[in-house]
Amino acid sequence: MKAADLPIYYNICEILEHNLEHRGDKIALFSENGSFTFREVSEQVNRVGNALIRSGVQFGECVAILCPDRPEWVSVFFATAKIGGVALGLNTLLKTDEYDYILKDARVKILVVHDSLKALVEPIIKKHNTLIKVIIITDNKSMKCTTFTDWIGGEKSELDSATTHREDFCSLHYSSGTTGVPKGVLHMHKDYPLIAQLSGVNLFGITENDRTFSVAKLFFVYGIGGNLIFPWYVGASCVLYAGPPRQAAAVLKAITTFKPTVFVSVPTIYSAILSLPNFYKRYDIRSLRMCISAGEPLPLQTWNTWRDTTEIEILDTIGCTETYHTFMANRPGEVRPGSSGKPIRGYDVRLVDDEGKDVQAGVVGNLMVRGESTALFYLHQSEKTRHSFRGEWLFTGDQYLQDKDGYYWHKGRVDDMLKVGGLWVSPIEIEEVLSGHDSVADCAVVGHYDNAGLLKPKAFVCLRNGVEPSDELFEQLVKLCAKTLDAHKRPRWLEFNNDLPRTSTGKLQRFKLREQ
Amino acid sequence: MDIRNVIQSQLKRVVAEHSPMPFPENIEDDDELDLFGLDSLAFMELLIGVEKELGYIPRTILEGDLYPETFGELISAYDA
Repeated sequence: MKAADLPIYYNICEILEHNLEHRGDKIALFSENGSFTFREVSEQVNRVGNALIRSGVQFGECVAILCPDRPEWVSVFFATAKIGGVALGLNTLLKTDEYDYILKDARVKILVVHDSLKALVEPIIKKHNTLIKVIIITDNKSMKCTTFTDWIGGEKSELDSATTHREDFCSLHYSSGTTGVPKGVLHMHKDYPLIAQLSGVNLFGITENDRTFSVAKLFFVYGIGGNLIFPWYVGASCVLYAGPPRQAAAVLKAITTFKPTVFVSVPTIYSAILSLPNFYKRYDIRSLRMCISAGEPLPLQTWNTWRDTTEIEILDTIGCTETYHTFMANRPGEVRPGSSGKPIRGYDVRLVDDEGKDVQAGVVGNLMVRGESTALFYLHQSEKTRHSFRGEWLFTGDQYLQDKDGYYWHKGRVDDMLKVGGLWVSPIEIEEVLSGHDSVADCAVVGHYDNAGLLKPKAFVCLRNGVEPSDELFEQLVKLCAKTLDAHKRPRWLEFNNDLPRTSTGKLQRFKLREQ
Repeated sequence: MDIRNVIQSQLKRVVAEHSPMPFPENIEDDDELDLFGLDSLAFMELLIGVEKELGYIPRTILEGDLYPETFGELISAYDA
């Protein structure tokens, strides 16, 4: 499938609405907040769309959603796209200053926020003069604000789609950067059916008989792709899970309750589930037929134990925000455990050296990828755009090796970024926190593998002259990180060093620290 | 067997293994578990460690209804 196969004027609401004619009364979405048919979802989308228009949202303007995975998230997303706007699913794990940056960068016009998360944005809302309305999703009827229920209450359940070109932008996604400033990535309407066909249908073989379930949240492209776009593109159902993914017992319970057939998850959760003795006897996971992993390399031991326990092979894949979803994967029946598999149809990859020349099989090179779903640029970041978007090729920042059988093996990152629990972590952000302590002269953070084979941050700290390492200082630094950083960003290990390895020009040699 | 002591000693063990955070000499009920930065794998190890000594994981945790935020909430889940 090519983008040119789509109608020139195309809107991603088609992915939802094509189901209305033959399966309008089928459950499209299961959740703890209720289950809804395709028709019910469509009507809700139309009500939200009418409310957005009434609120003054124009073609091309941005509507942001800060909400756990609930039905409202889905209706705001599709409604925004349907009226020609740009939907922005905000990561619920960010800090207030990061929301501040994004609201300004994206010129958000309407913010729909769940009651449980509104404290994160309340201090900054008045700073943004482009923001004309904040809608609160809440069950508290006495709250003095515009509630989601009231906002859409009187709206009609019919709405015509805006005439959107297949190459109009419809969604905006923010990805962590090395300097801590998030990078805005815009995707077009065409990208959605493309990834649904290339990954959802061609690669994973999802059919209308499937029911997907994801621990990766909808604000991640991995989550919305695998657990909303792929299933609805073929008329399958999805299960939304609003709880924290780190609670593996709740994940297992949701599988037992909603009986999904496709499990979209990350290595940390697979490992956590496996650590619970007899988990397959405590919970009924027999509904699963396919398990997908992405976000960080899957440890070989985890893959083997999962297969031996469940008789299901985890399909380890790699994708990124820029390509929207998977571009390389292990295929059912052809899994090479520990590898990222091979490029999928619709995408080409190259491994190049630092001069841009292709390297031979067996040699580590920088991974480049091209495919029609790849974004064009980073919003308002031309320098980073020039570095990453090189003609039709995307410089991913990942380093890979191709073996003689054509499988690709992850060998690290060129930019020192870490993937921890499927989430990007910038060592620089951690180093800035540690450097904020009066006793710290220098520090560096690198990735280090734990006993389960999963990457975690490890910090090396050099103290100022006259300051001696002590348990008290150690505790101060650890608590500083706990106070400032999200749990997945906090160093798992912290060591005092006399100095850090540097080149003659002063550049930090992180590879030497990784070997320690 | 004292539930509080069992949970405290298991928490101390898991924190020592999964976090650089020193375990406090006197942990209070309103001390937040998030302080230790335990991920899903570490939290599961805590539950399993307690199960080995007490013989059960509380239904509210197994069913996903409760994700204890504080040490006191964790104790309460086992006390209920």
